Order: sequence, then C-alpha cells, then structure tokens
Amino acid sequence: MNEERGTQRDIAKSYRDRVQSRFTRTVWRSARFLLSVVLFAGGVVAIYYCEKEKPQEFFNTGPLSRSHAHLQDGCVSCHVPERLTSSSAGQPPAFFQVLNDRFEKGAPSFERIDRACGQCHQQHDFHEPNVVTNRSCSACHREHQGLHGLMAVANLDCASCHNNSKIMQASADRGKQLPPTRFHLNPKLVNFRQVTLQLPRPADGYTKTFASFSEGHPPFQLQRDNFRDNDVLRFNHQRHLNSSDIPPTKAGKLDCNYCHQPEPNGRYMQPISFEAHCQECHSLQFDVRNPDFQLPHGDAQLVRTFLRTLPAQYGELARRKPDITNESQVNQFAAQQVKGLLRQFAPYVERHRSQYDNVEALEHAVFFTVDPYKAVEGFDPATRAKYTGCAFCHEVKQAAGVSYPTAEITKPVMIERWLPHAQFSHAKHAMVASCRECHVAAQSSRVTSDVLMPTKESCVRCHSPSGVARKASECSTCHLYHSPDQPSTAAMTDSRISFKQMLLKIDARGH
Amino acid sequence: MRIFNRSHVPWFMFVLLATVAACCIYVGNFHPERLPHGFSLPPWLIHKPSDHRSIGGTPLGLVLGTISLGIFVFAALLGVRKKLPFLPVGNVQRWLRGHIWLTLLTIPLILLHSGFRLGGPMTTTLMVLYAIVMVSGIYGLILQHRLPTMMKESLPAEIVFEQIPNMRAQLCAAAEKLQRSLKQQATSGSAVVATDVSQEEVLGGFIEQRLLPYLCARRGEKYRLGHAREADDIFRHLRLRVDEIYRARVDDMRRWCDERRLTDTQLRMQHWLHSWLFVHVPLSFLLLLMTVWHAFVTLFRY
Repeated sequence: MNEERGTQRDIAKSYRDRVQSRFTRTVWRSARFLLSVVLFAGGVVAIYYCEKEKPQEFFNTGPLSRSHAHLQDGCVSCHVPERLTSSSAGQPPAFFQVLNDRFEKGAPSFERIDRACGQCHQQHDFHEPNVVTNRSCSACHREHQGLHGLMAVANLDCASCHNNSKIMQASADRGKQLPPTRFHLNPKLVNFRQVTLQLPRPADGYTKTFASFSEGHPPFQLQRDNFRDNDVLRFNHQRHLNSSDIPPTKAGKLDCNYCHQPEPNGRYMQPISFEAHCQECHSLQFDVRNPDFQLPHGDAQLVRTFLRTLPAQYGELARRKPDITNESQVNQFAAQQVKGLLRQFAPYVERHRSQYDNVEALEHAVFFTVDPYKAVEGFDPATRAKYTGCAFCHEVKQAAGVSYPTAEITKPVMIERWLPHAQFSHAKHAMVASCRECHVAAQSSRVTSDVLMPTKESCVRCHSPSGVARKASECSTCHLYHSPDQPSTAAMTDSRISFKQMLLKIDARGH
Repeated sequence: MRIFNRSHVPWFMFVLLATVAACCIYVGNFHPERLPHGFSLPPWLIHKPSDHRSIGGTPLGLVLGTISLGIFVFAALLGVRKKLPFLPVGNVQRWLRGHIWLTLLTIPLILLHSGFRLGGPMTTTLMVLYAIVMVSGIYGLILQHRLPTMMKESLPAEIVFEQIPNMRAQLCAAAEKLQRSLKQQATSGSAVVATDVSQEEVLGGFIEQRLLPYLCARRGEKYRLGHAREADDIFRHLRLRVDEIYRARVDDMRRWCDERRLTDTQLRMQHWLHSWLFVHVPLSFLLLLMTVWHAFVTLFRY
C-alpha cells in the first residue's frame, strides 16, 4: 500500500490542476464559523443583560450574612462601581489609576468597601491605638460565607499580627509612645453596672507573640500578676461549701448556685446581695425576745439611728401587738424591752462602762463585736439571736477624730467580671462541667483575697484543637477585636488613683 | 501536530520551568510554611501582604490571571495568523507550537489564580468553559497525534481536506462524461469499434443506476460500491459481462470508486480529526469574551 501512496509531491502533482482556491469553505467550516458567531453574540447579549439587569445571583460568590442579606441597594451597597474617567483634564485617566491600584493592593478595593461599611457601622473603634497594620473590615469579616459567616473570624486573622514578632514589637514600641489615656480600658461590657476588674496595662501592652490560645497564649493577667482580691468583706468558701454543721437552707444544701446565680442571658453571675444570699443564715435578729425585730442593713448611719431610737422602735413594735391598747402600755413595753436588751449585752456593757454609757456600749457591741453573744455565759443557744455583729463579715472602723463610738463600714466591692478582655457564658459551660471543675480553688479557699478564677490551662483542656471544644478554640470565641464605643476617661486611667477608686468609678478628685 | 519531536523540547522545558516557578511563588506567598526548610523566596518575589481571601484578587493572583488572559488572546490569534499567511510574524508551525504549549501553561496558572476554588456562579461558568475548551483541545491534540499515523496506514494517497468536495465533483463529472460518450456511441454506431449496443447499454445503465448515485452521493458508505469487497464483486461481474474493449473503462470506473472510497475514508478520519474544533473554537471565543468581562468586572466593579 505504501508503494501506491507516493510522495507528498507526487500527490500534489496529481491534484495540481484540480485544486481550487485555498479559501474554499466547507460546510463544516462554515457551520463552525456560524456557531462561533452565534456563541459570541450570545455572550455579548448575556453580558449586556447582566450589565443592565445586574442579576445578583450570578455575581454573588456565596450567600450573604443575615445582617446584609436584605440591603436595600443590593450589591451596590458595598461594591460601589469605580469611576473610570478622570475628573479634570490635567489628571491622568482614572482607568489607569484604578488599574495600578488593583495590581498594587488587589481586587476588589477594600478601601471602597470599608467606606461603604462605615456608612452604617459608625459607632465602633478599631482595636487598640498601637495597631501598626490596620486591616480592612473585609479582611476579618468575610462576607458571602453564609448566614453566620460574617462573625466567624478565623484564628489566622488574629495570628497574622499576634503571631508576627516584628508587628508585635512595633506595636509595643508604638504603645509606649502613646499616652495611657488613648487605650480603652474596658472592653464592651454586657451591662455598664457590672463591677469589672481592670488591671493596669502592662508596660509592653498585650504584645506577646503567639499562634493560638493553646499555643503560646500568655496566662491570664490576674494570675500572671498574682492578683489578690482586695474586697474587705470576709468570706470563707471552704467553710460554706464543705462544713457539715451548716444547716440546709430553704433551697437545700448550701452550694455554689445558692449565691452565684446566672443572669437571665446566662453569661455572667448576678450581683450577690445580703438580702438574697446571706440573710437566711446571717440574720439581723439581735433581740432574742423579739424575733421579728431586726437591724436594718446597708447603711451604718441608719443602724446607728435605729439603735439611738430603740425606745421609739420598740414602741412601734408594741403598737403592732393586739394586746397592747393604750400609750402607757406602749411606753411600759418599750422600757422593758430596752432593759432586757441591755441585760443581754450586760457583760459587754460592764466591760466598757468606763468608756461609754449603756447605749453607746450597745452600739459599740453591735458594730465592732465579731459575735456579741459569745460573752453571755449559760445563754441557751437554741434561743439566742442569730445576729453575729457587723464586724463578723464587714470591715468596721472607728471614725477618725471622734471619741464617741462612730463606726464606719467599708463598702464591699464584689467583682462580677474578672476577665474583662474576654467574653464568657456560664450557661454554655454549665451544660458540660460543674462549677468546681473549673473553679477548683473554691474548695480550699479560706480568705476573700483568694482569686478563684480558672487558669488558662484549665480552659485549654477543652478549648484547643485536640480538646472537646475544638470548634470553639478561635480567638473570637472569647475576645472582641473592636474596642468599646467611647474611650475611658482620663481620670479612670490615671495611675495615681487607687484600684478601689477605679472599681468604684471615682476619679482622683473624689468625684 | 505531533508534539513528540525535537522542536517541542524548548517549549516543554519552558512550560515546565514556568509551572515550577509559578508554584514556588504561589506557595512562597500564600503558604510560606510549606516551603522546604531553608528555602525562601527572594524579597522582590514576595508581594505586599494582602487582606484578600480569594487568591485571584491578590496582586499575585491578578498577575497570574493577566498572564492567562494574555495567553488566551494569543491563542485566539492563531486563527487570524492562518488567514493572513503573509504577515512576517513567524510561520504557522511556530504559532501552533506556541498555541499548544502556552495554553497548556494556563492550566497551572488558572488553578493558582483561582486558588483551587470554583468561586461564585460567574467564575464557575468561566471554569466550566475553560475546562471544556482545554479538554477539547487536549483531545484534539491526541487525535492529531494518533490519526495521521492511522491515515498513513489506511490511506494510500491523501488528499487535501478542503479539496475533497472538489475531487468528488470531478469524479462525478468524469462518470457523466463517460456516460455521455457511451450514449453517443450507442446512438451513432461507431465504425472504428465493433460496437455491441447491449454492452454499452449495460455500462450506461450501470453508470446511471449504480456509479453516478454513488459518486455524487454525500455519504458513500450507504451504497454497495462504498464497500471494497462488494465493489470488487460488482466490477468483476461487470468485467465478465463486457468485452475486452470495454474493460479498460470498467477499470476506470473501478478506480473512480476506489478514489471515492478513499475520500470517504479520509473524510471520516478528517471529521474525527477536526470535529473537536466544533467545540474548541466557538467556546474558545466565548471563553475569551467572558474572561475579558470577568477581568473588567473584578477590577472595576467589585
């Protein structure tokens, strides 16, 4: 067969006279050309349609977040089209400027999108003032990732700065040059009445380099600084939790939940109050013969007034009794009760007779004695009053420069939020762990100054890639990037004010 | 075009090196931790860190996309180059080699540009179009590699593809001319040749009923003469029915049928050889149009 074939030249020779123009169109070639034209024209029509109608679904790279899903202007709300013509004759064409910008910074232009973000989100600040590489909103808040994607900030976003030693060093250096008043002391608080621990900012700020919570995150500042609770209210956790001689309360055996009750939203604990959490055991009933007759609580001046007007108070009590009908009986009843009360405090009164008269000695006993009834020998414990004296729990001081026993009770400040840079939900954690699993130190704590917060290692047990809560080990699980709306006042950050002043939100001038 | 020859080695090396370089730059910029220990990119190859999540939107991604778009434009210009052979911009062979290898280079470039993701409906459409164009192109390349060998083995003589219709027309014309001469001879009673009218009628009838329908048909394989073995039998039988004087004409007819069968076979193979272009070429232009639009929207609208 090959012999019959001949060379290409022979073949060409045999067809020399029969070959027509090289541009002869075959049906196939024509059809191919036609199809190309039709498809190209279809593409042009499709582009025209898309440019005119702007079908969002076609350009949308993914479902929008819940908060942006119903924006009135659609895509244009964020993706503002670029002007491609220069505004004046002297300027270079905007087309090339835009092109240069895109090849330098990338596309889409985050500056334009950030400007669009700022039109609605005007009330927040960006992180801390010592940030050296400020990033776009879209860098962390990824849109087109589904309903909840916008808030799901990845660890890598935070680590891009916090795991970069150069950036962190630059931030530390910059932070040192800034006045302390520039830094936001409080993060976004759940409610502004919450008593929040605010430790002084470290010299380098929060610029330690680390990759994630489980890898290199520094210990919590209050543990690193070995912070002690300065509250003056005496409380012994070990005694309340472990003692077998404490009778059960109305709610059952005394446990953590009796005092520490979560807020309705389940995040933090409600403030502890004497009336709700202490009074059931630590009653203010100070007269055994009149169990309903109780001291007021919450104001030392009020207590003093109450004691100074005991005859009148007993008179009021007498008027509520049905068997006492006239005023002489009232006076008689009041006098008897006062005498009886003084008899209860007789040993104490006798001891201080040289200093105070009867009423003053009684007042002194109420305020300053840890347990005013201990001195009463042979007193029946079953009938004794439950009152144990203000100083049993409170810090009671003699007012300076006054000879009369004028007591001053230091107002207790119970911190309700210990880790203000982080968010926390007790409700979520209560489903997987008991209180004592995290607050281990509560079992053995005997003094108020013990800080019973869990350590970072305790959290890492679950919140790490290998832990049970591996999905909740992102930085954003606890931290917020954005600072609160308003920076703290200068007075609050002044280093000269005491910690207590800071807690009580009193400035250096006492206002 | 066969790609396993020496002229393609530089292109192959270029594509290989460009792919490796693109991959190294990509990994060095976006996943520097995956680079081998002690290996790092020179600073001028590391782009300014970008907040963009999609690789395509980063400066490096835009560069990769722009190179790919440039290659698309170059690939589309091959058709223009074929139509304008007089242009002093290299011969078609070189253009074709560039077309093949540069478009193959777009595979890693596009994958790196997309960050190995399809993205939204618009980019997914583009990727699907690109995949179809590339698969059809690679399929065509394989056919271009295999079919010429097969054609060489199965076709004793090859005709220029575009001339096949012309060839067929000429075969028909030859048959009609013979038919006319036979009719003329039958009516005139030629003195030169001792004519046998019945044999001329036999030949004329054969041409009219069998040969001409076959030679003028669009698809020859429907006819008995379109099959070599059956055609052999038919012509052997025809030779037996005519005298020696007509046998040369029978041989001519047989040769025309062989030639027609040859064109059919070649056409079939040529259809295989060029059918992929039906998908490749129109979709390539559509892809080019959509890519330009994609670039415009991404750069100026997003």
